[in-house]
Amino acid sequence: MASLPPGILLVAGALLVPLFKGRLKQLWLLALPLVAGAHLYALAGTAGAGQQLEFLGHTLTLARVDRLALVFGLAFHVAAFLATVFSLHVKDDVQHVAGLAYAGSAIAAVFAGDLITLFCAWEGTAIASVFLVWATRTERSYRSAMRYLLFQVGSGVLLLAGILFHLRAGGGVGFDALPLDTTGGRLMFAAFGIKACFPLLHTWLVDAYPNATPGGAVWLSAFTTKLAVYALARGFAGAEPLVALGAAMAVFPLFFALVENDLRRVLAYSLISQLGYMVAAVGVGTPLALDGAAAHAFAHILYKALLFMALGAVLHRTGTCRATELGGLARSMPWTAGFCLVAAASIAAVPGFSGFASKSLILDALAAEHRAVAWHLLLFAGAAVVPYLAFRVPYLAFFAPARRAHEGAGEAPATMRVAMAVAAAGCVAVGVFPGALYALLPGRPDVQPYTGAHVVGQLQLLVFAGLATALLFRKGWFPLAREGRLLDFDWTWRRLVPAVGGPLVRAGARLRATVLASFRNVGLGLWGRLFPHLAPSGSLARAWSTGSTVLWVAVILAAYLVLYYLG
Amino acid sequence: MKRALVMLAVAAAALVAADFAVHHHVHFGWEGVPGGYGVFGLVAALVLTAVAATVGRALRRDEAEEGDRGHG
Repeated sequence: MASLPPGILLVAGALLVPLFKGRLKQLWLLALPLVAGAHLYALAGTAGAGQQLEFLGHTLTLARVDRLALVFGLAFHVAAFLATVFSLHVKDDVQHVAGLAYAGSAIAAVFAGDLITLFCAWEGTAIASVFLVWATRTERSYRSAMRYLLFQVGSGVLLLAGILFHLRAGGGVGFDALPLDTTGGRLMFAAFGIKACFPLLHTWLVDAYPNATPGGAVWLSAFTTKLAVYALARGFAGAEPLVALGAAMAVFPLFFALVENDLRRVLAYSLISQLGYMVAAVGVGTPLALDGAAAHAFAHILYKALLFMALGAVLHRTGTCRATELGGLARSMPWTAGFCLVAAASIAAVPGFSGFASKSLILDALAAEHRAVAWHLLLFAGAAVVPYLAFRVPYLAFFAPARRAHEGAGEAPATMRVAMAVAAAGCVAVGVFPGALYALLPGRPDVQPYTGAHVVGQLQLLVFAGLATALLFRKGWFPLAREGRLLDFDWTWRRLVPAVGGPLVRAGARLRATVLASFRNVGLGLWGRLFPHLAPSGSLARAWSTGSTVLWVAVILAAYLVLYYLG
Repeated sequence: MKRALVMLAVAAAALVAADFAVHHHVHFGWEGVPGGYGVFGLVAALVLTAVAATVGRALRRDEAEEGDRGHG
């Protein structure tokens, strides 16, 4: 089995899903990530560059197995299993096929040992994932999916262009450390940056993820962005711009997240903030920092999937994720509320939960390299998570007074609860036994996050942030639910460009029509004057005498001589 | 709410006291100050709320106006 390329089982199995019905389909869906997991286990024993083939004079490596690929591969398999279980009750084959093919493509990309295989898998994730947004089947989701596709395909085009420039400049086809000082390298950096949600390139995520189906958002939360983090870690570890980009990513989404009304969009902003930790760590590039990025990707996939599952369950039961239409659901959805709190504790890095184990590595790595500005910004994001997510999201969905009655909104279906329970158990397990996660990391870091100083410092950060939140809440100054959509940077090309460009284009069209009409009038006038002379009966059409021809030739030659001397 | 506030305040005070009992590996000067992380967390939450409120006032638009009203 180890001879099969990674991810292929999920992609091939996904295409067969429509052939099954009823219980058999559910068994097939469950079996796929489990069999793929067994395949991963078999692959883990074959470390090195295996499964090579020749293509257009290049050697493609379909399975490069090393510890960095394995830890991301494991996280992706876990995410695929969780998302499959969460969506098991769904009767829509499109979502099952798209989700599994998406996961398979992402896994194939992680194990790609060359740039051409990476490109093919990269495009596979783009094409498969867009169906998870389309599957909502509303006008809004359709438009959002088209914008999403534009960014994803744009990233693919940049990657392809980058690969071609890279190869032409004599770079190898291997997917290893890439240069940032060549055109090819920069194009690939931009391609990875789109999927990693670099500032101003992030809008596709906060646009599309909240418009995906309840299960679709769980799939989406795991793969694309973490694949981009992996690609950056593989290709651009230690690239200095990543430190500033990561720190900016960690902070700027927080200001949107605290006042956003759609709670799944709050999670999308928070996702970008968490990516900022990973990107900054990749930029630092030391072994500890890269281990931190990989560990945080693993932990993040678990708790972010759990958050999207909890709010997906809310959406499934109530038909909305708007804070202004929710509240009071803890009574009817106590399990979901509990799982949401576990995820909130994990993302807040409460000691004993997964975020604490992974964020500690990143902050320690930045501190060790004296990255003061980035370290402080990440610490700010670590404190800010208390008001904007850990308190606000569970409160508005589950504990605030209900703003709208949701008759019959019972607890989440059993399959959803099982998936949430497994993810929650994973969050706690990683938090309680961080050594088990550290043992999987490329550098096997020998660090202990549970020191007195770490625990007390982190608890202080969180408790004081909680105290400020409580004070603001009591004073009525804390931003709760409020109708409206926040404008983000995509406003510039969705509204500003059409608003400014539309009149410009229309003015240009009017000018063109005027100029063309003028030329036509002048041309017609000229033609009207010349036609009598050019017509068969005209003066220019008659046979000329040799003398007059010679005269005209002499005139033309004289004119030529004058022009020659003037020149 | 008042009870939660009191509990948080007590926890905060206990954590500041605990700072005297642990040894911080200081990378940046203020880390060694007892309650330093607490002050950072408190200020961070206040700054976040103040800036986010401004962001919300400046950038919030009616959803129907933005043509995005619908599912989700």
